[in-house]
Amino acid sequence: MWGLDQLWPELFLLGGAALALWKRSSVPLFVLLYGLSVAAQPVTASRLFVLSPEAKFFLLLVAISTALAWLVHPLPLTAAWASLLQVGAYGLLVRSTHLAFTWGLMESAALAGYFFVIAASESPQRWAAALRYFIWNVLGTGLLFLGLAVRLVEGHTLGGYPLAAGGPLADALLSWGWAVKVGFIPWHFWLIGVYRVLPLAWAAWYAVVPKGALLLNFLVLLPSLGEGVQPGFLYVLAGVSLLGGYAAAWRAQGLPEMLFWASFSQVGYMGLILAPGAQENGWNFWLVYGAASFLSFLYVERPWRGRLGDAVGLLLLSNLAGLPPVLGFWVKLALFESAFRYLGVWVKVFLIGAALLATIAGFAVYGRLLWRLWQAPPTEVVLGRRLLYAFGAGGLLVLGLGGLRGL
Amino acid sequence: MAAFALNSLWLGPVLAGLVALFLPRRMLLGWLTLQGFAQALLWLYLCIEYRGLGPSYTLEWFRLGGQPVFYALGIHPANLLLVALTILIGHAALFYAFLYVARIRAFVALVYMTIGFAQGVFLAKDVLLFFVFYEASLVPAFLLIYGWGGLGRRAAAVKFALFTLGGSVLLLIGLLWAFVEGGQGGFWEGWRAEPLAWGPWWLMTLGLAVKLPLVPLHSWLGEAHVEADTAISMLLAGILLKLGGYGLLYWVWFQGYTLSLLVWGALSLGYAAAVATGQIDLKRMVAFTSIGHMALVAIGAGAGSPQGTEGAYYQLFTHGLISAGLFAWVGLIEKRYGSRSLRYLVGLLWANPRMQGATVLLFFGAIGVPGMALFISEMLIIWGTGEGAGWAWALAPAASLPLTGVYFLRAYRELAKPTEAIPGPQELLSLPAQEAVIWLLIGLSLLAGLYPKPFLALLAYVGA
Repeated sequence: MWGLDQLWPELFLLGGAALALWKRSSVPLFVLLYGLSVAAQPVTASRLFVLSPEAKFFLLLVAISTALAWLVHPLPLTAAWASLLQVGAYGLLVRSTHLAFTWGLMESAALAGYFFVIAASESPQRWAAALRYFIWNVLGTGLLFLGLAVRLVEGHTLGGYPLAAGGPLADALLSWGWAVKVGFIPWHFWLIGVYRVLPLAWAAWYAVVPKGALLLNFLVLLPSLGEGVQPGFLYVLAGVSLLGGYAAAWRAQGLPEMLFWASFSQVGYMGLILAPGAQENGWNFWLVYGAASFLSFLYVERPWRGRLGDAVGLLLLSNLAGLPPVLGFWVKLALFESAFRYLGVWVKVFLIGAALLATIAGFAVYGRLLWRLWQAPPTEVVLGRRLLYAFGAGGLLVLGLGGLRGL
Repeated sequence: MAAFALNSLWLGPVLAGLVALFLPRRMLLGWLTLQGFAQALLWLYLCIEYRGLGPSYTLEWFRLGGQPVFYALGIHPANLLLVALTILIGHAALFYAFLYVARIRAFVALVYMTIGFAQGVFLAKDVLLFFVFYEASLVPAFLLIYGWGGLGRRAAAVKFALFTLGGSVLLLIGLLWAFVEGGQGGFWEGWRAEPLAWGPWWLMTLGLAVKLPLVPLHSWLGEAHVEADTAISMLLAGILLKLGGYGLLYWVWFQGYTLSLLVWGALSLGYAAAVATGQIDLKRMVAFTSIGHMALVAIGAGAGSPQGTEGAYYQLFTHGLISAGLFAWVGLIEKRYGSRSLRYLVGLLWANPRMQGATVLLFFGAIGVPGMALFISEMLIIWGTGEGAGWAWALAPAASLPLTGVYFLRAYRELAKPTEAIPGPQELLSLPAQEAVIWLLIGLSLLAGLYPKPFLALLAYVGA
């Protein structure tokens, strides 16, 4: 009934945490086993969880990106434990259908993230970044907690799938809390600080996994939320993020910094599908964006130059910009199609307008990034990393040739 | 066989380009010749197969919003000439550049990709497939401008990419809007069954006007032409601008008389003529001539009459021939004399009468003098505008002839002015391949002007 029997794959994370005491290099293996075993479970729904095919794919993405980040930049013991705790929390969050459970998982992940930043980073700024992270997450927690309380006072439940709509105040508080935790602009400062102090592979992980889990959980809860109150507040934030992220990315100096800022705009695109009925396209978008974004961060850190390497870089960034025929184009096209179909008239005008401008700005930003990459002197890139780039970019191209059938 | 021919027309050049990357240089010329013949034969086969409806190939690709998206290719009156033009101009540009261009394999690969994706644009019978090819063609074009040309080529390439990608976004939003709310019955055959609603029509027109280009969305073109290598300018003017014009004519479905497009085209025409008149850089002058000539396509489309539409389609073809010839001519002068400036080239034709013939014919071709191909298409557009919009409006396209005449005759006066100071090296460089390309394009322009019947026969019923 509660679905707790579905949680046996989490034992792999516990096993990984225990073995890390003796052999830390085994952690990626256990994370991969966790992802694969969740993916092998049947599609089910219970009082606490719903395991959809999309959630399985996301958890695979989480597992693979965690393992890759680990291989690129191994972590000390405390950071390894914190990362395993985060993987577990986000892995459950993306399946959660109960608001109290969601809240608890968010807090677990946030606390683990706080320790992770301190333990994984060697930057002198890590304490300040972690403190800012903590303060903003406490604010988000408070708002979510108030939202839950107001919901209960109004006589609504916290569980049930699909979730019943709450009152305007409860929904607004929940939306606001979510926005702070996702890092929508203008509540993004804590996240950019985290990006700056972490090793790049783990910063890339932060740009893909936590945001993805929070947004996708919001989609799980959305069907009934939309029936009562449209999340208008989030639409405004999505519009601001769409344009603000790329504007900041254009001015950014470093290549990773450009990608960090651009990731805020990519989050903004999710506003296009914050409407009942449009969720599936949101999942598809985040899966494709997440995979391409993670690889792009790695590519930018150590670009593979030369005729083939440049083509691979072009494909990866084309995917982020949404150029056909790579898969990133199709998932973005589906977002726009959903927006036309499901959003209200004024939201449509505002959000599609913002997304249109952002897409043009995105071409400029990713084009500039590519240009800077091509100006930079070549670096030594090991064969394994080249293969990773090539398979990733080739996969996005081949799947893109199948249109949306590729998903 | 028809399915093979249709798929090979776009996929063949793309694969040929990839193969060219690995061929030794001594085999490249043979490879280009073989490809040129093969593609021409495929086109001829499809012409022979074409009987009224034309051969087509359709495959359900995937579904979007519950509607099927098709991988659908086909030959029809609107694209027969443009497919041929793409093969012709693409190979003319390759042969023109073959002996002098650096990194020849990469160049050939990118040109072939441009040709392949442009063929996809013309052959697509599903509007979403059209869009995919339209976007895909930007990538090789961007890399060509970025990699080959003058010192400012990189900035020009970025500007080209930003403008055209911006236009693409507008096009895509308009397309989705029309699909979801505009009453278009899907992306395939249902699309052209109903005229577009006003909102999607404007967005799609704006998007395609960037590529056409219409003033004020044209500013990428001048820099791209000036900075890019001559062969790339030939591709831009002869093929890539046609993608916007074709999209406007074929996919943005008109219902009767569309005054706004006609007025916009007329303003664009006047502006381009005014700017071209003030140019001393010959290449920039030719670039603005292109803008003026493509504005006539918008006028023909906006006229909303069968003759106007037919004229606009024919203008795409005739302008492709003459503009590619003009760019090849400017490139030849630049190679021989190291300059494109009218100030430096004063007296060039007086000193080198060998160039007189080609120059006069090209200039006549651009002005639209009777006997040249552009004359026929411009007459059709003037006639169509008179029939569709009223004869007072026909003055707008008719003004093209004297306006173009002003700056070409001014340029000719400078070039043919008797002078003692002979510009450039005394000894002429021998560039037979380039000269052959120019004469081929002039010859075709003359043929399509003196005996337009077979060409217009391919366009039969296009405006009906």
